[in-house]
Parts: sequence; structure tokens; C-alpha cells
Amino acid sequence: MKYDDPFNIVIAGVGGQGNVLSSRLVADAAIAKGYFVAIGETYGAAQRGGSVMSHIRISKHDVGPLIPQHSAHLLLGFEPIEALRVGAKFLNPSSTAIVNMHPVYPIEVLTGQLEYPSINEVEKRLRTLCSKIYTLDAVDLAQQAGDPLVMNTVMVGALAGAHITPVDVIVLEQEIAKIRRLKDVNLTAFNLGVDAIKKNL
Amino acid sequence: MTGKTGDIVIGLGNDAIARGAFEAGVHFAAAYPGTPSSEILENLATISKDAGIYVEWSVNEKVAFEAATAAAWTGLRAMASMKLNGFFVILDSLINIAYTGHGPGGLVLVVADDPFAHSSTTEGDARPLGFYSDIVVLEPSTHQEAKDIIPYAFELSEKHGVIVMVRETTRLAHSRAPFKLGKVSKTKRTATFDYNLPLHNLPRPHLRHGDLHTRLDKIRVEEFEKSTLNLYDGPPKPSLLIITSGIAWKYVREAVDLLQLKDVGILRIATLSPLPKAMILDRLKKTSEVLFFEEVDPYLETQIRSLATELSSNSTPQFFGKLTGHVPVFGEVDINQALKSIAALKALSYSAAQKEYVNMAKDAPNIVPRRLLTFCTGCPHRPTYYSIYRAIKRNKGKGIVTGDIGCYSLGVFYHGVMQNQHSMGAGVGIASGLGKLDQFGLKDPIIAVVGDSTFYHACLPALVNIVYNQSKAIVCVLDNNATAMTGFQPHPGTGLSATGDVTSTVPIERVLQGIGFQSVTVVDPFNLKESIDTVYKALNSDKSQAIVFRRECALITNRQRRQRQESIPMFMVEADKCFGDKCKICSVEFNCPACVWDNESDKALIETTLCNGCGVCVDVCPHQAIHLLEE
Repeated sequence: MKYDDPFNIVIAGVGGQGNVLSSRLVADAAIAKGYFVAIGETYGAAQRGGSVMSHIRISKHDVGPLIPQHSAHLLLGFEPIEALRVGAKFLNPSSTAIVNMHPVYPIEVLTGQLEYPSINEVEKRLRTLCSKIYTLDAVDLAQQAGDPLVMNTVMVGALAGAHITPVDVIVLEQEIAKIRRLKDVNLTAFNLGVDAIKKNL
Repeated sequence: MTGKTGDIVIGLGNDAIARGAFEAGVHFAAAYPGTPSSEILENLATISKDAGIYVEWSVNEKVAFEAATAAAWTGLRAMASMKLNGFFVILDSLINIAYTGHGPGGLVLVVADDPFAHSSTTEGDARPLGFYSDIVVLEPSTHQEAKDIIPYAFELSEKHGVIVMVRETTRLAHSRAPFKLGKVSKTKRTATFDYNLPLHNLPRPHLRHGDLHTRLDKIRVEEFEKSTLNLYDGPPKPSLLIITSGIAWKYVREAVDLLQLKDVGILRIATLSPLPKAMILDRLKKTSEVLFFEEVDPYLETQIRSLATELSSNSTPQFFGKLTGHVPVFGEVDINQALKSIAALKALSYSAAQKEYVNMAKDAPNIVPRRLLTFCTGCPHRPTYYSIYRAIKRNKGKGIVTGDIGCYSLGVFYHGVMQNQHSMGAGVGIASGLGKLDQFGLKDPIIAVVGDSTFYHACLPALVNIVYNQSKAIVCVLDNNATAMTGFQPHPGTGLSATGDVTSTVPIERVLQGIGFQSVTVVDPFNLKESIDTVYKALNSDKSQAIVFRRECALITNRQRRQRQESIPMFMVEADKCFGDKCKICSVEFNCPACVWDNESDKALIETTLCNGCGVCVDVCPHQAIHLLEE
């Protein structure tokens, strides 16, 4: 299969969800396949509940770390409203979105000062922004794997399962197997992610 | 860091710089943590013992730079790394030592600028400051160059007796890309102090200044005019020449490619000071239009425009850039801005999607609530600020809070408790001034809030000033036993060194007592009543007051809990006792993300997945509705 070069993936989430690790897994898998990869990250406020975003660009060339607006081939959304916030800038009518629909509420929502929009409305709007969307509850699947914190690995599995990026399931699984902490939980989580998309296909 | 020659690894720009220093055979590395520069020293610390490199977290950047200078004076290769704000801190010493030179060793600075101020309180540009300080300035554009430029910087420094600065920006420092490892040079050297070296600028500093300019001119002619670090790509006589440096070069390249412009040339300059004058003038003669596309300040733009006065009027191109409004003078440049600026000059437009789609997409997130930054659950700063907030409230709203930069800067979002927030230690100096204004009618009590690492970094002179000049400012030190904001680097209060070894501690309260504060109180912010009372008492005292709020960072507590496989204590709200909507003190006023408001029952709820078990909410609740859940 021929992929656009650069192939652009944007990950949208909240501090503490592990997008830095996920983007590294995808990057390592792409490098293992002979690609150049650039990852641009914004994580200054990561540990304090802020929005975090990673850009992953897979190319044959030495590309820059930032994806131009409306030029992402894939949005990996770790949180619904972050997916919408970031998707509105980077998606285009032919891109794909894979979104964990399990919310992480902003502080003002938690304390009852602001309202979180309905999940259906978020999904509806995301649908209008791209050509295909896969939704899943990755936190639930991570819990099934043994630890809600491996949600990010479920999402990497979902990315692999969708078969739309230049990195494939086998290479990604090999990268996951290199994780030292909670290796088996991560492998289970990865495969649950792959399967979730298969069911969605 | 430790891979073999020829290995291709993926890492941060900072990882590449650290590896470059390792390959250059650096002997001495000093730094103060600051985003986006901290990983450079952290990397070197991991290999320091095996590689025989001395590594230290200095108390501030000025000391780091001076310590590195000392090592260079004895013939070693020394490096100091810092964020831009740290570079501001070293300027006086830098300009002095630039005249003197650094003896037989090599002295390299790495300065990380933070355009957009992603994790800073100011934007700024180290390039013009490097020029102003008469040091050599280099800037890489790729991860590979970031690694390769460091050994070159050391060579230049040693060969010409100059200080070499390598500038990077956040997008290089904190992006990841592959780079190929080179050979690690083994430069075992002995430190020897040459008593005959004139390591000062007296009696005629201006003559030393003149000598320095001679050295810089030599570098310009012998090294930079023909340097292969400066790249030109495009036709021999382009219709438009784009001049750029650093990571912005990548944006320009991609934009020119996307716009399919064949007659545009790109000049990437990596040797930023002294600028290769002849090479640049030669390029200017071959085009009629020039666009400067650079991060932060119009450095190349102003320098090259002034060089261009040497050209005859008919060979002077027309210049575009920040000075003409074609590139913004603030914020970060990126690929979108490159597309916009270049397309505008070429009377083109570029969009990856149709106009209707772009307009629709713009409105799509209008249902998304903002995500304010807040203290982590279990963070000791929350009860500290809550105590200050409550004490000021009890004091009829009187109490001005000054501050600076660290995790505790989030105090500006916490009911606006912190009213001003600037550079490291600034809050103490400002409080010192505010506390002397009663003769002009300002009677309000003043509180300076400062973090533990910042306390050592930049507060000591201002603390002495408070005591010496009898300012009535109250100093609150928020001691969480780490430089938490930048990634938990140790500091003089922790008893640990950069390499994790046990070292001497400098206890904060003893420093405060030694300076002469009449009252120094250490409180645990988790003890809410004592904290509020201590602040309130200080607000109404005539003695000079210092309060140390001591409790380690919640993320450290969590890490230790995980290691010991301990569970987090669980708390619950007794719904019958909760006053509901009429109160909301735990969730809205104390503002803990784990004190969730349940809109259906209109009662508070402890969200156990978010709760870190600090238990402060038990004391925050005025109705005794929150309890520890017994196993």
C-alpha cells in the first residue's frame, strides 16, 4: 500500500494520559521500517491537567515537527473534547479519527461551574470533520487488560488495527513487548485495541 | 547517550546536544533546570560516572556559567546549559568573561529559547543578546546538526579563545527525531591553573574589548564566510530569497515545497554571530526580494538590513519580514505561518481544505469547555494557597501576594491569590519594595510566595534586603522538596546531588534565621488550621516574618507509594451531612479536582480515581461531612 509522504498523525489528550509514550512507540515502529520520523510535542503543562498534543510525521525525508493545519491523516483522540478541539484544526474531509470516548473532565466541570457537552454531540461534530471515525472506550478496555493507565496502549493497538498508517501491527507489537513495566498488561491492552477496531470495521 | 558509533537513535533535540557534548569529550557540565533545557544536563548526569564527566545542578545559571568558566580556565572542556531566562541571569558575568577569554580550555553555552512562552513567562531571543555580548552564536536546525554542532563549538572556542553559544528553540529541544551517533573522543586532561594568565580585564577593559573584536573578525573571515553550516538551496538568481535560521528553516522548506515555488531560494544561516558578511552580501546582490523568516526577534533582519547599506541602491533588494508586518513580531512561527507569509508575497493562497470546510471546522469546538491548569490532587500548594486565601479573607481582604515562576505560579489562577508573578525571585524583591510604602499611604500587609528551588536561585539578596531595610514583607517558602515544575531535579535543600549522591543540605529555615528574620515558622500545609492561623498571625505582626510550608510534592509521594505497593487512603462524603449547593466549599472554594460536584444529587462526591488521599478536604468541610473510609 502507498502512503502519503509525510504521513501525519496527531494525538490529542490531557496531561498524564501517556501520549508521549504512545508517540514514541509509533515512531520507533516507523523507524524500524526505515522511515524518518519527527515528533512535535507540547507538554509544558502536562502534569497539571492541561491539554497535550503530539504530532507524529512519518516520512522518507527530514521533515519538520509540526503538521500544517487540516493536514493530519489520522487523529488519535485520547479524550473526546480534546479530540474535537484538536481535530477542528488538523482534520480534513478525507482523514480518519480514532477516539477514546471516555471523558477526562476539566476542573471547572468537576466543580460544577461549567458543563461538559454530551458525548453524542461531540461524536456528531467529529463525524462532520473527517471521512471515517472509530470510537471506543479505551479506559474500559485498559481496565479489562488489568490497569486503566494503559489506555494509551489500547489506543496504539487501535491505530495498528485500523491499518491506515505506514506502521503495521507486528512491528508495533514488537515495540510494545519492549516495555518493561506491566509488559503483559500492555500486550493484552494492545490486542484489545486491535480487536476493538476490527469489530468497528 | 551510550549507543555505539553509527547507531541511529531517536531522541529529543536536547538528547542530541547532550550526546554531542559527550562525543566532544566534555569534562565539566553545569546547569540550572529550566524548560526546555533541563534534559541536557539530566542526560549527562546519567553517564557522568562512567565517562568521568563532572556534572552539577548549580544554584542558578550565573553560578553554573562561572563554575564552567573556571573549569575552562584550567584547560578543560566545559559547558553550561540554560533556558533563555537563565541566559538573562548570566549576562554581567558573560560580558566580563568574554573579554578575558577562558584560558586554554573550551567554553560552550547552550541556550534554549521558548517562543510562544510554552513554559516560560516571557518570549525572548538569545541571538541578539549573544551578538551584544560579543560571543559566537551558532544555531542548528535538525537533531543531527544539534549533536554535530557541539564538538565544533568546542573546537572553535579553543582555537580562537572565544565563548561559543549554541541556541536552540523549544521545537528543536522538545521534538524527537532520529540522529546518527558519532565517535566519542577521549580527551583525558589534567586541570592546571596557570598563575601567569591575566584572567581579568584591568587596567584597560576597553583594550581587552578591542582584542575580542579582533578574534571575532578572524572567526568571521577564516571560519564563517565559507562555513558549510550555512546552506543555500534554490536557483542561482532567485526571484525571492528567504533568509532563516534554526527550526524555522524546516518550516520554510516545507512551505516552499507545498506552494511548488521553483524560483525561490532559501538561505539557512547557522553561524549567527559574527555573521558571514561577504557571503550574505553576495546573495543579496542576486535577488530583488528578501523575506526574513525567523523565531522571535528580527535579528537577522536588522543585521542584514544594516549590512545591505553597503550595496549600491540598484542592487539593494526589497526587504520583508517582521519590520514590514509580513511575519508576526510575537509568538512562535510555524509551518502555517511560513505558508501564509510566503504565499502573501507571491500573491498566492494556500489551504489544505476547502473554505466551507475550514469555516465549519472553526465553529466545531464551540461546545468545548476550557481546561484550566490546576494543582494536582494531593498537591501541598493547594492547601497552602487556601490557607493564604482564608487568612487574607479573615483579615478583611487585606494582603497583597507577590510571586514568581514555578508550579506555585498557578496561584494566579487560584482565586487570583497571587497578584503578580514574574522572574525567578522577583516576588521577594517586589514585596520588599511594597513593604516600604507605608509612609506614602500603602498600609496593606505584603506576602511574597516563593518555591524551594527558587529560594536558593534568586531570593537571597532580596531576603537580605527585607531584613536590612526593615521592610514589613512576609516571606512564604513553599517547600515541596523538589524542582517539581521542570522534572524533580534536586536542589540544595534535598540533600542529593545531580548524580543522585548524598550531599550537604542547606536548610531553608536556617538560612532565614541566619539572615535575621525575627520569626521563622515551619508548618505542614496539610494541617489547615495551623497554616491559616500562622498566616493570619503574620499578617498582623510587627516582626519580620518567614513561613516555610513544608510537604513533599504529591507526585513524589505517589511514586513512593507505588514502590512500596501501598494503597491510597480513600475518603467519602456523607451525603446527609453535605450542605449541597449552599456550601460548595470543598469543590469550588478549595477547588480540588477530586472533590467532584454531583449535579444530580447536588452534593459533593470524592472521585476516588482522581483522589490522591491527602485528606485536607476533611478539614476544609465546615460540616464534618467528609471522612476517611475505613478498610
